[in-house]
This record gives sequence, C-alpha cells and structure tokens, in this order.
Amino acid sequence: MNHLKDTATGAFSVLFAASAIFIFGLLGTPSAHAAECGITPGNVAQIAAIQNDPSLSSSDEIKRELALRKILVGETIVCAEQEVQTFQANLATTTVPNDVQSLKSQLLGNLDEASSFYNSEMAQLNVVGIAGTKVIAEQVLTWRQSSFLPLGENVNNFILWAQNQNLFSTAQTRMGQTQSAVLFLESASPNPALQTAFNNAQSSFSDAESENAAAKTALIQNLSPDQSLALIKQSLGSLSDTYQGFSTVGTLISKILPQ
Amino acid sequence: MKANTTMKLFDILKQFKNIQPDAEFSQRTRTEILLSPQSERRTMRGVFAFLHIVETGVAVVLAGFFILILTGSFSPTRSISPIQYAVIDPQGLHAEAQAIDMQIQLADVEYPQVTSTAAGSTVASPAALTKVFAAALGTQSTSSASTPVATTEGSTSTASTTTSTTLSVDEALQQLSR
Repeated sequence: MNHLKDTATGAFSVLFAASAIFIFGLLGTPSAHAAECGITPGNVAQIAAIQNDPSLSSSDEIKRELALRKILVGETIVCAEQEVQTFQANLATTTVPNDVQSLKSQLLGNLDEASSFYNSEMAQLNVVGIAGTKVIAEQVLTWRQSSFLPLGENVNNFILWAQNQNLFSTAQTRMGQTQSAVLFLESASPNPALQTAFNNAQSSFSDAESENAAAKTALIQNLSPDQSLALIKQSLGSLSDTYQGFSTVGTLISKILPQ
Repeated sequence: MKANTTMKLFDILKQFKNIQPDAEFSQRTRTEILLSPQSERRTMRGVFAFLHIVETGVAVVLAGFFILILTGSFSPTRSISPIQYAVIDPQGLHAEAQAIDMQIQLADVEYPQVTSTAAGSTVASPAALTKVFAAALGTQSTSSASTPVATTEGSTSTASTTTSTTLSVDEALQQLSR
C-alpha cells in the first residue's frame, strides 16, 4: 500500500514538475516578455484542459489548476506593473514648464500608488485558493478600469500637452517675424490681400493659444481625460491652421520682395 | 716773439688731432650706447607691423566679399532688408507644420476611444482600453472578442492550437476572473 502511495506521489511530482516546465515554457520568463506580456489564449485555456483531464484525481486537478492560475494572474500583474513603469519613465523624462511641475509630481505620485496597489495584490496571491485568484483578477480589473485607465489617459494627455509647448514657442517666434515683415511691407505699400492673410493667421494662433491654455487648466483641474484631449486636439488643429496662414503670407511676401 | 708763440699754439692744436680715447673707455661707452633702450623706434615698428596685418586682413575680407557677390552666393538686399527672410522660407515652414501634423496623428493614434465616445459610446470598452495601452506601450494585442479562448470540454489539444497572439492585461484578467 505504502509502495503504491509512494509511486503515486512520485508520479504526481514528476507530472507537476513537467506541467510547471511546460507552463513556464509557454509563458517564458517574466523578463523575457517584459515588453509584450506573453500570456496567450492558449495559456488560459490550459485551465480548462486541466479541469477536463480524466487522468487527474480531484486533488491533483485542484493543485495544478491553482498553481497555473497563480502563475497566470501573477504574470498578468507583472505586465500591469510594467505598464506603470513605462508611464513613469515617459513622464519622468518629459520636460514641462515650471508652472506645471507640481502636476507632474502629482501624476508621478499617483503612478507610485498604482505600483503599490499591484504589489499588494501580488502579495495576496501567495495565500489564496482558486476562488481567491479569481477575486484578485476581478479586483485588479475593476480597479484598472475605474482608476488606472483615467490616470493613464491623464498622463498621456499631460505628456502630449507638454510636447506641444515647443511647437507653440516656435509658432510664436514665427508670428513675430511675420508681423514685422507685414508691418514693414504695409507701411511701404498697403496690400489688402497680405493684411487679410496675416489677420487670418493671427486669429488662428490666438485660438490655438486660448485652447492650449484651456487644456492646461483642464489637466490641472483633473477634468475628464476626454475633455483635456479634446482641447489639446483643438489647439493643435488651430495651430495647423495658423501655419496654413503663414504659408499664404509667405507666398504673398515672396511675390512682393525682390528675388 | 708773438709770432713764435702763435706757432707753438698751432703745433699744440695740431697735436690734439692725435689725441685718442683710452681703449677701455671706448669699449665701455660703445657698449653703453648700444645697450641703451630704443623704445620709440621699436613701438613704431610694432604699430607698422600691426597696421600691415590689418591691411592684409581687410584686403582678404574685401576680396572674399566681392567673390561672394560675383558668384551670387550673397545677396546684399537680403542682409540689409528689414524683413527676415525666414518668414518666407518654405522649407522651415514645412518642417514646423509637419511637426504639428505628427502631434495630431499621435493624439489620434493613442486615443482611439475618443472617437468612439464622440460617436455615442460614453464608456470605452475594455478591449478598446487595452488597445489604447497596447498602442501606448507598443505591445502586441488582440481583441478578446475576436480571439475567444478555446474551452472545448474534454479537449487536451488546446495548447497545440494556440496562436502566437498575446492577451492584453485587461483581457487576461477578464478571462482569469471567470
């Protein structure tokens, strides 16, 4: 009897080890899949395969399913943490104006909190059963949709907005140069077409600046990410219109000036 | 008597011609003279040398300037004009406009759910959300709706039919919470 028991235990150990090797083979090491999070539908389907394997006893089935679920949920949380790290790295390397440095710090702090949440869930994973792994997966999913998604969108919006400031600065310089040229030419010989084209460019730039300022306010006031993004896009659209105006003004000036 | 005295005086005076300085005195005084500073002459020489360099430099610059004008590489009207020609530089203008277009495209690519929200959907679906993050992170992702997990009962060959596509974090969590 004991002999049979030992044989069964040994067989189970071998089976379990082989299973673990197979699972890790499918998933790869966490670091190897750091960028793409290598969980496939097939990995998840292994749970059903274990549940439906007639060669496994009930206790073996439970042990193997639990082990697999812990690996899969753990791997998913690692992927989620890598997302946070990517956001942190992108935000930390973004140069922002002085008046929004505090917002940058606040967002970095929020990302730190997100990382702490994942660490806490990962720690809980060690002491739960099959139902517990399901609960953890659900908790993380719910939390991501309610908290992390808006945070991620806010971070992306903020980075996008900060990147746009150089474009606005360049446009401001060009606006100054264009204005000087138009004033000089107008003083020499009034040209209604040139004045109209310049007025259009100036009007578009004024709109772009207003929308850019409104986007900053929306980010600072932590309004809905959709609102911030809409304003950012509007400001970029107006800035694009401004450059169309610059192009028209440039064409008119080049016709007036000696070549 | 008086004539005799005069003659003697002339002889004496003639002998003065033969007077020569002491050799040591000659050497010493010559050395002192030669070693005495001649600052004025040197300064003048330095000024002339400097003026000569300036003259050469001006000549070279003028020659270069005229060469540029002759070859058409330099337009006096552009340099003297109060208008900055950058205003009508199409290349610079195009480059700056292109940078703005790239930002617009970036905003559109990273936030596809905004379009769906504007179209009537108030809350982005998890699949859309994961696409957002996948796009932001550059990860490979497939929609859970289009890649349902093969959960055929009794099947043990699901691993062999597994595609190489990966699940996003939210898709994986959704499936693991069941």
